Amino acid sequence: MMVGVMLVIAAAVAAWVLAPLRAPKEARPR
Amino acid sequence: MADLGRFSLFGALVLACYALIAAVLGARFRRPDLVASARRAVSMVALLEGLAACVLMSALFRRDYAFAYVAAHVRDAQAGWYNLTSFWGGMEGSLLLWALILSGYSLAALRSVSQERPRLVPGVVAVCSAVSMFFLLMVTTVASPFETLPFPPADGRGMNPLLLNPWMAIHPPTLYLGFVGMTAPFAVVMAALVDGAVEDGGVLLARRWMLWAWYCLSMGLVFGAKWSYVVLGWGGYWAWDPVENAAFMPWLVSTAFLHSVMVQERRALLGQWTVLLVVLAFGLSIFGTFLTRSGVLSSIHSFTQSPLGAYFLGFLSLAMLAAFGVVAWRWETLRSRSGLEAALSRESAFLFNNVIFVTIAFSVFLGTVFPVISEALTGRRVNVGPPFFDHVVAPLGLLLLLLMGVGPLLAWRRASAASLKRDFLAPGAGGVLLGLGLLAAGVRAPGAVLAFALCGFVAGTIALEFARGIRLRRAHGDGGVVAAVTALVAGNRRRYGGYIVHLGILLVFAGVTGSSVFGTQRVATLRPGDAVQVGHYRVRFDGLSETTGRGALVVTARLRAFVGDRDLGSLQASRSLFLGSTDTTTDVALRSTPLDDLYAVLAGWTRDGDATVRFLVNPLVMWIWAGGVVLTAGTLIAMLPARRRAGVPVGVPVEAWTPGGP
Repeated sequence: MMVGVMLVIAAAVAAWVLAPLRAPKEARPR
Repeated sequence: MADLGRFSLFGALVLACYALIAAVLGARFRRPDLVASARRAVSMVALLEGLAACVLMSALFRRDYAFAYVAAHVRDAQAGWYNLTSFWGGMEGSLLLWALILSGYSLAALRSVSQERPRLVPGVVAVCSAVSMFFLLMVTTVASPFETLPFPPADGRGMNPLLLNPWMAIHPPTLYLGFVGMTAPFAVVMAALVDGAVEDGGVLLARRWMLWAWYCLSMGLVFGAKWSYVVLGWGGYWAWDPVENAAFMPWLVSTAFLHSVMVQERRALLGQWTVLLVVLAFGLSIFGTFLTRSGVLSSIHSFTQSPLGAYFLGFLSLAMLAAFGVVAWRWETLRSRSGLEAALSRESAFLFNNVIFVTIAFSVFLGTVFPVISEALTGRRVNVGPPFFDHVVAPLGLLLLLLMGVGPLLAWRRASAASLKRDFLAPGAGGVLLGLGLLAAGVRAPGAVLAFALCGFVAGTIALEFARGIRLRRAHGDGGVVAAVTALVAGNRRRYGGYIVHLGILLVFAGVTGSSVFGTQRVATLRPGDAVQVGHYRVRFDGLSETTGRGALVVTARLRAFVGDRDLGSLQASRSLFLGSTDTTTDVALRSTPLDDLYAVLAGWTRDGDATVRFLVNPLVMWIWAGGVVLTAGTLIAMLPARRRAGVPVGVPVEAWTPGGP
């Protein structure tokens, strides 16, 4: 159960942190 | 649950590393997407640390003794409220708090920097993340608050009962807000220096952060002094203990910074020096944490037993090496283009003030580390006692007091003889009269007479500044005195907030002088019904009583105080003996008035009901705490954002500027 929670947290955090890198080039923050 | 805590801290460590690397690469290769991702990582570090803090807090409140940290810092008999303070009562928890506060500061600093100087964002992310990484490395390896015990005990050991006090509950977090707060101005200045495009090295941007950290440190010191006074039962509030000095040193250096940054702002002078002060204040804040957390103070051997001290020293050396390297790299660009125009000017007064502050900080540093150095070199520990600090700091403090009166009234660039006469005649005469009055009243301590005369002089200069400002405001149609004062302070918050802070410091000075020079004490063994004369108080001992509660036997001496025939009411001095341990705590009997404190400590008792009580009369102590309140008011006023740029712009001729004018 706890392992599942941790995996979900890790995935969500990684996705949010890396999101600016995955945006199309023209939509990236300046 | 401990797994979730460990996971959060480990995740935060990974993210802090990522933020550092992404920020550096983002700045180097001009990749805003990488910088944006680094900023998000900083937010997530804060979130994960917050999660770890929640896990620990929940374990503390559930009294889950499977956590080694909980078993060491909580026990069943401890009041629930203090489970919160157990969070920072031990090393592991306090390091987690350090990291958590740092994340808060990082987010706040990034928010402000991205609005004012967006190009500094990668640098601030990098510095804050590097510092975060160190603390996260500590709490994930050598000082983890999430260690678990294979066989949890039925009850915990609990905190040292001396720490179970409201003042001790707020003292450490306040102090930490100050210590950790030094990282924000340091990060801003480092980012500006590396960037190279900010002409003043970022010190003006850093000023506000330093002011806040300075304020928290000030209040941390005041709360600590209050705790020492009401809990430790030795009758004083400041003992030049290394732990106190650890907080006092960055306070001194940051105070110097807050003055020198004004010279940088108005006259573009002292740029190199001001940047050095920021680095030094940050270094001393880490050094202070190292001193209190490494065990080096109790003995050099206990320091070598735990790897924590070595890590701290390594990090401190590395950080200082990097910081001084960056400053050296940008040294020439920080050089002032002009110099001091006259020896008698506001900027030279500030320069002198800075030299004194840093001299005091250096003396305190030397006195604090001397036992460690002597032990390392000779194998014998030579302690430097309070007399050393008193002898060095008191005369320098008096000089600072004099400058506190002189500095703010001197004109920038060059002070004229006419302005000196106009500004100093009345306050100077007031100070001299006060000194003569004290001598005539029979006060024979020259240091105290000088200190009070200087306090009178400084108070006079502040009053004069306010009076002039009010007169000008009223001449401009600002109505009554209250309206004029409000308009005056609101119109130049930093200037008048600063004066109010000075007033707070004056009160502290007066309180410290009064209590350290004119205090009296007496130890007496009394039978019920006996009375003793202490100063102008007569205190009667009415007997002992015993109660039990919260795992302790509490013995209380019932006292009643009189002045002449006037009954001042009852007082209780008690001592708690904790069952099953050698811990004892004192509850002092305290009657505070603006003139003096009557302070009594139960030192011992016999089975026959006799009590040995230590009585002290400490004059003017209340003014120290009042000084803290006034200092708070002044700092808040100074920190509120100004409606317009305050003060004299560079280039305005000296005589065109009217002191106290808008």
